[in-house]
Amino acid sequence: MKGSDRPVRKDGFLTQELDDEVVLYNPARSEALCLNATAALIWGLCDGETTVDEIQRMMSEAFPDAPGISQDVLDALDILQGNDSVCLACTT
Amino acid sequence: MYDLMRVGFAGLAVDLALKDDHAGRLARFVFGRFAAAPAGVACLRLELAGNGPEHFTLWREGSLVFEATCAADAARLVLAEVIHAFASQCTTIPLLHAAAIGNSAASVLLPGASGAGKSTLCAAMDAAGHACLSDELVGVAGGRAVLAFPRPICLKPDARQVLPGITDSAAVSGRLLQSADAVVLSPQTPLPVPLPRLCAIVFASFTPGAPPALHANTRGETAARLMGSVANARQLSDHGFAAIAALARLVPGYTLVHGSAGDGAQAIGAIIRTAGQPGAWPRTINPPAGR
Repeated sequence: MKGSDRPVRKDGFLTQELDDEVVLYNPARSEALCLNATAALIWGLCDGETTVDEIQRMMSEAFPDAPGISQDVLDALDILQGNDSVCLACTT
Repeated sequence: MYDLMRVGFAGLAVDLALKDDHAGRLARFVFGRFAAAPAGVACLRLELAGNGPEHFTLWREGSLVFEATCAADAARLVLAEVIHAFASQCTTIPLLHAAAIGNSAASVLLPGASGAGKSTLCAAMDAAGHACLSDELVGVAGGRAVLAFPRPICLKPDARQVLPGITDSAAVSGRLLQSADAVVLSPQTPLPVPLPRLCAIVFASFTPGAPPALHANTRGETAARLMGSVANARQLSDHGFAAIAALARLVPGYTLVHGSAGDGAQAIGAIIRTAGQPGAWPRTINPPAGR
């Protein structure tokens, strides 16, 4: 994963917000994924314009007391990519 | 002239033509706990014939579905046909691979794939006086309401060793069918009327010898896990996602690890008994490390 990648949410997912979590459901694969509040924010930033570096910076600014947040971003993007809900290499 | 039994569930119906007394007795054993079916859309017609108390044939539209030489196997196979018909043709509400157990006041949903131990828990709880609404299929009817599929409890062949007292008692009272492949037990606790509303969703897993451990799930976790149990997802426009999320918003979800059917039944029984009592739930016992 490169810092200049611009992750983008894939189409076709259904979403439901429950408390501060977001549940993604992929009808094509009949798979559901529960995103906690942090992962939901990261997923929301995957707009195809914001780079991975920028997502890390924004999350670091939003959570200044969480020193591991940059790695959390990478981990979350890995999971979202594995779930096929985000395309990391897409560019706009 | 055949006897005709209509089995209704989720607005659908299966018509079962019973060609003789043996077939009639087996059908009453299998479907006797179902309420009289209202006029639903007939989605399947089957013909069941018995050539003696242990030899059955099932026909669907003139084609032989099975020939079984044991009543327990015939019961399981006819149930499989009926469940498949409902799950493949219900387009109105989500049907869950789940058990449901309760008393007159409250019930607990136990989602899980076949082999997860739902039926064993149902048998243990039935013996303790809780009604088994279903050990396999439950309809999500809106709000906290569920539709029961009150078939007999279908246990694995080793059930006679795992639940000796329960199965021996059922055998003596004529509530047990057994073959090399299955044990089919008719519950002893009657269904409450009306059916109780859900007070909890419990994802139970059996780990031999483990002490009972219960912890609360987030609503998102509950919804995501429930989606894996929707039996008729392909028949619903959104795979039932909105209805499942609505259920997860209303009904608290838990994960239960138990090392024996007795421990699991005790934990679930406590949830049912304390439903609605202020401060009773959510609570956690023996939470796993890291939570």
